Amino acid sequence: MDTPQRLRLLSLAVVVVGVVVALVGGLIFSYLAFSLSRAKADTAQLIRIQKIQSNLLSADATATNAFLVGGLEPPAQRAVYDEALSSTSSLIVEAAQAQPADAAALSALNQQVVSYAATIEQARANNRQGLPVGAQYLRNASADLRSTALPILDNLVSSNAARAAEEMDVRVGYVFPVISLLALAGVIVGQLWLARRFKRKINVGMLASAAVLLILTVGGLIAAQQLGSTLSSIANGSFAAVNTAADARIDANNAKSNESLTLIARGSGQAFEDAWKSSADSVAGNVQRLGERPELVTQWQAYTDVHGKIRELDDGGKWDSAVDLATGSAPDSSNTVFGTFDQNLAGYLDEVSQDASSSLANAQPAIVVGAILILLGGLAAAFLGRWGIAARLKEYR
Amino acid sequence: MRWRTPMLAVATFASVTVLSACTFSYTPTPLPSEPANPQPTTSSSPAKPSTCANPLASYEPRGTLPTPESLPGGSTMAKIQKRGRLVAGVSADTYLLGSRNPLTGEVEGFDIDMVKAVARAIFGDPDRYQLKVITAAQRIPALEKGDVDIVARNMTINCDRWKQIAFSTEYYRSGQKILVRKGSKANSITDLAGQKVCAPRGTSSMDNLIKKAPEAIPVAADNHTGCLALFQQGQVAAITGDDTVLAGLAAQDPYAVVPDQKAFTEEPYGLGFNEKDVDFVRFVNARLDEMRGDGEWTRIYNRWLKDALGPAPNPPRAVYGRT
Repeated sequence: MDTPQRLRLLSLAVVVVGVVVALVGGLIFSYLAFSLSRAKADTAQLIRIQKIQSNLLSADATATNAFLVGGLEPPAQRAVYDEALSSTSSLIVEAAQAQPADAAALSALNQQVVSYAATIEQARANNRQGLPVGAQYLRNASADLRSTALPILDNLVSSNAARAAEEMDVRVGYVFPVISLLALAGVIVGQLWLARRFKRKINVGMLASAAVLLILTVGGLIAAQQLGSTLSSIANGSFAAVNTAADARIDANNAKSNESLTLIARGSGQAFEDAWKSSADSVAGNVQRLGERPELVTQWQAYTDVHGKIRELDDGGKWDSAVDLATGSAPDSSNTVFGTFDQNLAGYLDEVSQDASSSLANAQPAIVVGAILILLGGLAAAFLGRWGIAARLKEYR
Repeated sequence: MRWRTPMLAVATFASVTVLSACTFSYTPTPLPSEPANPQPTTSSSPAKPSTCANPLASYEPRGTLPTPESLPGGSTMAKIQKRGRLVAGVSADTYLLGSRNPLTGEVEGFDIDMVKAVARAIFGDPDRYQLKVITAAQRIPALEKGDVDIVARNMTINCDRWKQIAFSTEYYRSGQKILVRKGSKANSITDLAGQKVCAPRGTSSMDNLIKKAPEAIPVAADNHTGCLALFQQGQVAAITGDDTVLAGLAAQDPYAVVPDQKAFTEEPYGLGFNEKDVDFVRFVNARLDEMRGDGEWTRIYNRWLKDALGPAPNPPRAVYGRT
């Protein structure tokens, strides 16, 4: 093979290397941008599912509490229940549209919600007539909600959390600097061969191509590293806070339902009180972990104190006073104290949910820009290298 | 340009590798596995009931019933009077016997009226009582610990229980019957072969159902009201239990009837006491005698049970002889 043939071959090699760097880098970074937008969607879906869960439990807490009042439930509580249930319905539809992979689970959930609402209505109708079977329908509705609907929601939560975590894994970004580094090594070898073969020790085109590749390697490494740390800070920051706060809200409403169910069972409610305890312990742990809102800890403590008083009254035979404390709207009543906590927590949950999705959204433009720069850089490396070798080829014309 | 072909190959290869790394759709969220169907409780045969000469025999009253002003000093009744209220363990979900009226919040029924009658004898005022709602399983421990003075909670008198507590004379004769849908031809438990019959989990009603109607399909609920919910939802064809309890269920549903039938067990109800309070048992027995004689028992029966079970029969006879 004579020298011009070798030069042509080298030129072809440099172009191939540059184009491969451009394409692979561009694709990897587009993929990362795509992953990130999916992570954002998964997080939004997770938040939606958790909202469904806390809405359902809040509806149940309200329904059971209204039951304690007597035949005629307070209109305000009825309105809260209706609102929680109708927003659950629209969230289920929204969630099914947002994530087709959740559709089957959401349709099963929808059936459960419909049957829950029907059983509650049956309970209500019987209760208005003063028939004890009403309380039984209420117990059945609450028990079915916990045994059939909540497991579906648990699956939805864990699936979406796993999806989001998978999408936030951006280690594939490190493949690009490695490829770019290999390309750089190839261009340097070509440059060395040219230096040996020709009088001009330095080929400007090849050197420029190598410089571009060096910049791409270092830039790609920094970008991958930066992206990784940004995402892990989101995962451990607002994303973790969303999960903790949502768990706390779900458990808190679960506990509130069980408080009423214990009183409704009147002396036979130990199982509900046990369930209250385990939910309450988990809430206490979770609000402790949410360092940002220390008042949540004291607000939850205030509610558990009221609950303690209710139990003391009921266990001491003063059921009526216990019910007054559990259903009243005085400033020191269970509903008021719990409401303060629940609203504060819901507000915080909205805040961190916003945070999580906006920080994921913020990371995206930089990645898209990176993908474009890499594409241009790789093509530039190819063009510069070819241009440099073309100068040597001319000498043979 | 000569490098076009290899270029294309490389580009295709690169895109395929990168794209195959990202999956465009997720695996669907799994549904939770169906909870195992609750098996009907084929409860192991209960321990052999102990026998005694006559479980219905209680302590005979001494003389006539003392007035509230002349209670014997140091007696259990005097202590209750001093405290100011009679503490009774009752049920709050057995309609017509002892259940909370959701409209008024008051616990009311046949058993509660028995408590009121005792309170009237001690205080001269039927409203000087405090109710503690207890489960069936809590009846004996509550008496043993002294948490309550008296238990009025559809409690069957039997030899086993006499070993731990004391009973008044029989104040109601119940028996296990069946409740069916209006229009059903069944009027005995043996007519229910192949049908689903509900009874509360772990009760003697369930044991009797399995024993007397082995062909029926037993379905357990947590309590009788739970059975009524299953019945209304069409999941069971019949419910079995004490006739008073069934009367309470039938009263809540116009399509549930307790057909004319002979009870297939005998459940004599008694008021329960701490076994040491023999003086109190004698006192209450005297009060029950008074109620049998002056028609008060019949009035109470008719107030709660007449609509569901028909007019009052003769009150159960008092049996004495325990020393």
